[in-house]
Amino acid sequence: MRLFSRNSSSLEHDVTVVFRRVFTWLAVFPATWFVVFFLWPTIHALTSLTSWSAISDTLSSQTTWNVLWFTTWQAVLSVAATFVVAMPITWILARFVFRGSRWVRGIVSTPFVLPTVVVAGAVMSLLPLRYQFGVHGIIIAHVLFNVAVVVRIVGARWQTISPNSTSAAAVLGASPLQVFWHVTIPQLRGAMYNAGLIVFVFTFTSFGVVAVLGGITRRTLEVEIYTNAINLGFFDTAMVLAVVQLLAVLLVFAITSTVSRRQTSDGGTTFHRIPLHDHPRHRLRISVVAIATPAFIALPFAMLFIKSFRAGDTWTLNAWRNLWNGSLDRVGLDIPSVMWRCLIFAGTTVLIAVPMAYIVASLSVYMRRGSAVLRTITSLPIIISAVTLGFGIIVTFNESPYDWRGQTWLIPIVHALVALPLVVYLLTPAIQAVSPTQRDAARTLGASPLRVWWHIDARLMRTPVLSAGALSFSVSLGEFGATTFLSRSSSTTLPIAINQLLGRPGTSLQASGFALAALLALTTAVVMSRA
Amino acid sequence: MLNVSGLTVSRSDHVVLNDVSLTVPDGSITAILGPSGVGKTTLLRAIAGLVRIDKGSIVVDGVDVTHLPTHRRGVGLMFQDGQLFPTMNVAENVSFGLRMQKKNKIEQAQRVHELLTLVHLPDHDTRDVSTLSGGETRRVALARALAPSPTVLLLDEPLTGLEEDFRYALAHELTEILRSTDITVVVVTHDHREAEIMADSIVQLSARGNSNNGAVLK
Repeated sequence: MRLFSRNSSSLEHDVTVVFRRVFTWLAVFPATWFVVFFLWPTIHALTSLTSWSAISDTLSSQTTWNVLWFTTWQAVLSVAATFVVAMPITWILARFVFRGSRWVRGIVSTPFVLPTVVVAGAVMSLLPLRYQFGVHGIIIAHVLFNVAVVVRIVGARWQTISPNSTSAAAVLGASPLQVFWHVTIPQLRGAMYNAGLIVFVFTFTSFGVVAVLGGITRRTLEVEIYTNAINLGFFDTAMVLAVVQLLAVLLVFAITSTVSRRQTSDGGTTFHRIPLHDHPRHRLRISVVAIATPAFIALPFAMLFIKSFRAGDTWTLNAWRNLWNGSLDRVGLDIPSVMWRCLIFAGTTVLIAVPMAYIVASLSVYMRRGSAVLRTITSLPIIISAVTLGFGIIVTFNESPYDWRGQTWLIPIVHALVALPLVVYLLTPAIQAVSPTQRDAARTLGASPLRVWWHIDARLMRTPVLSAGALSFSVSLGEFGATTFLSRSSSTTLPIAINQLLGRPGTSLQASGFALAALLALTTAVVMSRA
Repeated sequence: MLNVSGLTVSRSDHVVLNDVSLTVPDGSITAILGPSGVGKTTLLRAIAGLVRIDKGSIVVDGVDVTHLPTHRRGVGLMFQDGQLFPTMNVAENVSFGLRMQKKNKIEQAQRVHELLTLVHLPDHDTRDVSTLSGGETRRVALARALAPSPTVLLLDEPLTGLEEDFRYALAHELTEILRSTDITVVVVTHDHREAEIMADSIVQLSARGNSNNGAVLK
């Protein structure tokens, strides 16, 4: 393979040309993996539906419309509730520095990286028994999970709004509320649409939270797809529902992106946050929000730990002991084996996801055109839910010699697909940040393109790659949607075990579920703190 | 008339303004001159109520506004870089203060037209503010600051960032506009010539934080 052509554009750095060629060749691996295990199964699942009677039966069923209606209104309510909780703390974290602000940011961001069943378990531990299953818990869990999305996206935009812009409105006679409504909100609108869209998609396609907290009466489309495919064996109905869900998500994307394009783009400058003691007028309000919001978010997780040590009115270690002493064998759960298996799955996921994402991210940085298309394609696992993917796999790989449905090796491959867009998103800016001038300097000092990559890129990418590893490890530990379709009793994962324990009658089993959820929360938080 | 007496402002670890006093007569233009970082902008922001003051008082037309929130002081401020609202067009920017005063649409339209004519931009009302040049931005910012008819207008380095020749030409033009409105003005600048063009009197703010009233031969 010829690595460097003298006919290449003289404006481009020669190493860039070489890297583009190398990563274009290497892209065969992620492309094959993505096509075989993602595009083929999902397209197959969404297009193999040929039974018109199944379509008309499903669409004329009142149950379908009830589920669609619930899915929609709980998502809308979740978005609204998330913004109500998140906007004050977003303002504070974007505008002020105060003692403990890093802790506050850490606490409000943590639930987003935790497995959905852990967040659901935490909410369940907080609620009284009669409210444990139902819409209250679902909305609270969605808010806990998604506050970080608003803080991250809207907060970043808020930091680019000049404080003088709001001061200008104040000296023109606008009250603080008028300043917020007429000056701040219009500038935040684009970021708010984007954050709202992401929260809507997450909550519209919510599976883990609703599977744990929905009980038998509250089902989203995701849960309904699972129920029809796995519990009832109505594959045609599940396919129709998967198509309905995808169309709904695409419709929301289309509407929101049209509205979002009309908004002004982000300003480039990020303004420094000001020390709180320079702003005494807001001190009380800020203190209340800065304490109340993290307390609201941390409380369910504190309760999760407390409940794992409670049996009736007494404190006990029984729930934790039961995880190790084999007493959960009676419900078919050998927790040490499950843990060991999950670690192997997570490690394998890292080994697949990080190199594949590195190749994709590099290609998107170095390619001359088409990088936006590449990014869109690799983002598909966010738009097409994990449940649809899992469902696609079991209806696609169901005939010899491709009857892979029960194969354990399929699980980390699918986990890596779910992690792919997140890892690409993490690695791309890091690759972009490597200075071409540094590579040029290495070239002028006699380094070959391979040595440039090794001595410049590889060294600078060490930390982002470790972060990417931690992220994909965590995604694998917490993945629930696709895994429910793929796991068998011999390949149960921690989230599935937690769901089984929390869903069974008996406070002893539930306490073990809380203990296992607490353990998974701690493990994920520690791993993600490395990211 | 603007009367500032004994004004002290401190940030977390240092005193920015120490016992500053200033009197600006009705309808006059006073320039505050001083090197960068001496506290000129902080003085204007304190008068506008945008920063917390430790000591002192601010009286506008006989009314003590020291403890009033910014939006109730009747003090206008034109910011260094204009700070036009990017989500509003020129006319919406200029009419913003009028909307806060709940003026009706007809009054708003008349005032906007009057002010855009005054700043020589009568046809720019529907322009997106991102398409304005540096000079146009300053004129729109001035029109916006004048629109709610503030008792005192503060200009914070209004011509910074413009090319030298154009800056002095615009200084003459802005001064003419301000004179025609008969408003009390405080202008902050680090450029002596700009101060001479615009002001009736010049106040030097020294690094020690004291100000000495001085006059300039015009």
